[in-house]
Amino acid sequence: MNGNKTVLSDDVTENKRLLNERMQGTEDLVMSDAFNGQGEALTVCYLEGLIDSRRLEQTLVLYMENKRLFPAFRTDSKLHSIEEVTDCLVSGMTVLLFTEPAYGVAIDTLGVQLRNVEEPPSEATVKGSRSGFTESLYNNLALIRFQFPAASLKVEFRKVGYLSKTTIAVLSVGGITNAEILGEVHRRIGEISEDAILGSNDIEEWITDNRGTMFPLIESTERPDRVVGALLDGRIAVLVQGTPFALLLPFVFLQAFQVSEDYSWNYYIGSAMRVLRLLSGLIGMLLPAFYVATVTFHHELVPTPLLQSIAAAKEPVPFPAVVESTAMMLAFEIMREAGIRMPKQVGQAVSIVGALILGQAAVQAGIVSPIMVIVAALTGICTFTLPPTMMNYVIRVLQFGMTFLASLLGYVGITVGIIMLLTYLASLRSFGVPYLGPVAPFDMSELTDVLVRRPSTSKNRRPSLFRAINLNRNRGKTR
Amino acid sequence: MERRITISNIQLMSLIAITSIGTSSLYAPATLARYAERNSWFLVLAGGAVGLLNLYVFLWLNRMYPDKNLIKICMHLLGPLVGGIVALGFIFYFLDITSWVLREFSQFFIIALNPIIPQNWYLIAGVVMCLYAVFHGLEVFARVTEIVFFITVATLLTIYLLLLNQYHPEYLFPVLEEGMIKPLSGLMISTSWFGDMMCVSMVLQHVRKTKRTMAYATWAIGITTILMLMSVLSCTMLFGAQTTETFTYPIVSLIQNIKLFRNIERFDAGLVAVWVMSSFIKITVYFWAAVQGLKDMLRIRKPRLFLIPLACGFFLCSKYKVWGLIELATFYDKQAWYFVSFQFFIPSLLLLIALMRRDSHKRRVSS
Repeated sequence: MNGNKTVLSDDVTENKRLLNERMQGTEDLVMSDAFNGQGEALTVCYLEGLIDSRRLEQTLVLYMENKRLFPAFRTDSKLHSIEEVTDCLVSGMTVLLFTEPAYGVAIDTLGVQLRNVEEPPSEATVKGSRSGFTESLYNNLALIRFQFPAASLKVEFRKVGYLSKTTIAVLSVGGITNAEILGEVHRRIGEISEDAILGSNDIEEWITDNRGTMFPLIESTERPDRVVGALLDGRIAVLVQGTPFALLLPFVFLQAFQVSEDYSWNYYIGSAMRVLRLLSGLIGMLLPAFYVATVTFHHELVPTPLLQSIAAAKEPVPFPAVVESTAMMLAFEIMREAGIRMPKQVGQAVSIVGALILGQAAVQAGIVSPIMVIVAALTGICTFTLPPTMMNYVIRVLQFGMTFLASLLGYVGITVGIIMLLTYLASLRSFGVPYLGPVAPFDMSELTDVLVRRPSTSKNRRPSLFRAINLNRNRGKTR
Repeated sequence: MERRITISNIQLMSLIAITSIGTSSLYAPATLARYAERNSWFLVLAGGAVGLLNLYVFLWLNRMYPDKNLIKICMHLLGPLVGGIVALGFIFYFLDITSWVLREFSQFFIIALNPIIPQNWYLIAGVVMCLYAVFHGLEVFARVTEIVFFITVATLLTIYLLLLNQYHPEYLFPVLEEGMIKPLSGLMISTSWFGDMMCVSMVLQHVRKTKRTMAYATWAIGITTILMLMSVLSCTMLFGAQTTETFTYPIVSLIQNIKLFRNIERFDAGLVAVWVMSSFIKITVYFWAAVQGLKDMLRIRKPRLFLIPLACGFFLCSKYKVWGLIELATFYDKQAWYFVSFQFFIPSLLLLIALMRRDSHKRRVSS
């Protein structure tokens, strides 16, 4: 069993020396000798700061009195090698080392200050659940189990990263999740050979189908309710220790326009909001391109009164439309990035600079036309309707490409761009599921389910898109 | 070993419909009106009937050889020499059609949209777009075809619907005043448009066959006929047969008659989208068919290496093929037999030979 492991010795000082050597002589390692009630010698080892000292004290007092280690046991097997001991120490356990026979016992005493459960900042809702994930994996699992207390929910732990040994959890639902996709997830996780996994994005990049694409092929969310909804659709969730984001897979393109709040509103409202997001995604991607194409090539297609006002507004501007548009959009992106990075106290400065200088003053100085400011503002706002964890950065990048094509070939360029984009999207797959599904390959009932939020009473089938095993939602009753 | 490529019935239907209506419905009314005046709808129906027959020829061939495409069937039936020559003919035809459609694609923009941008730009954009799709293969562009199909059908229907209050049904009368035979003089050209779906001969082996494959294919011809009929009828009912005849792209004039809320007009942008998308599908599928044919014929291991040289070839061919739209249209009109023979006559001949060989084989087995 222990091929190249160092076995614990019967000598206390030798054990301490081995431990110190293995841990590079780190100075936060505490090793103190003690005796229990029976007079047996033992060494208490832990990493200072990583443990909850009150919890350790209680456990130790109980142990000294009864020689029983009943509370807070995670590993009930005994430790026999230095490596096992150090692995326990770095994950926040306290190890009691005994001699004659030489073995160690680990007690879970992890005590790290973590964030409380808060409203997820990237996926805020007006109505619906307000809890979001934190950095603690077990806490996140508890949040999911709390929302979905079903015996069929299965959690599989894996350790990845040969140095960090980060714990990740793969969640699936027995009787719903397709075993083939689950097997594929495990196979891909097994291929990870990085030294340390620092966040869910590392996992995402390793297990994605296509590493060369900027489109998200795996969804990430901060919301337990979204994870539960996805699990019930036959999808798989991957949670990573230390990251408040769960990965959901497979993921198809149109899901980027869904948010979990859709299910908290009346279904007409929910559906309308979905369509609205789709529309604003399209506007966000294409509006500057349309403006550039129209102003540069297709004046005749604009109603005359509108054309007159566009021409009057554009008259003092010395740049071609494409330069104007790219500059404005770039300015917008810079302001958005600055708004995120800036300390909150100086945040107001960005809005003042943005509104007054880049908007009004630029127009008055004749650098940009007022219509361009409207176009840039509308485009920017439209992209913000999409959940930021998914598609909206991609759409912003595409915006520039489309504008470039429009400046070369007008409407033809835009259509060519759309076609190439569609071709590209059609070539993508997420864990074997076509990325453009259910539009292409076409499936009417699935498509209505994606575009429209169905009433809960008539949602009696699971989507077949993710190859769920049991498609029937309400047991026994069919209506 | 290559992974088996499969496409669905709906994708097959979209492919058939888009390759036949997508481009031709834009200028069909003018050409047909030249032959049959106000009775061009009759010509469309007749063309549709022949088109259906044409489709069944391919379906039948496919049923006899379910895992062979047209090129392989040729080689199998006629032996390596004669079959090889016929197969080469087909491949040449695929290549030729690709460059025709590419030229047609760019010509439309120069005439109907914007003469400022040089033709080369349009040609390059078209070639690059299709090259990219062929690079990704049949499965991918079949999926795009589905989306294009819905967009195209919806746009065309919207155009015809918005003009509803401007139609003059009396322009259609008298019906067939010169009998049913005379208008058929334009049957060849009408057939050649429906025959553009002959690319299915290369695609059919990849369709995931179900009981309803036949029905879907038939429906595709049905949809094509209906849409073509609508385009012809609405042009005739709006302009009358004689005016329709004078237009280059009657549907562009048709769309310019749409006016919403007094000020909103010129929906040409929608037409541009339809035209680009359908031309894209048509060029891509023939490009793909040519590459596939070359691959089977010459046993090429890595057909992807041939894509870029072929694309450059298409660009040059399209550029110097004809000097302008008039020559292009005349060729389509007068030399329709060239298209129809590859679309219909030679495949029918192949089917005939296949049937005879099967009969003689059966007789040999039974005796």
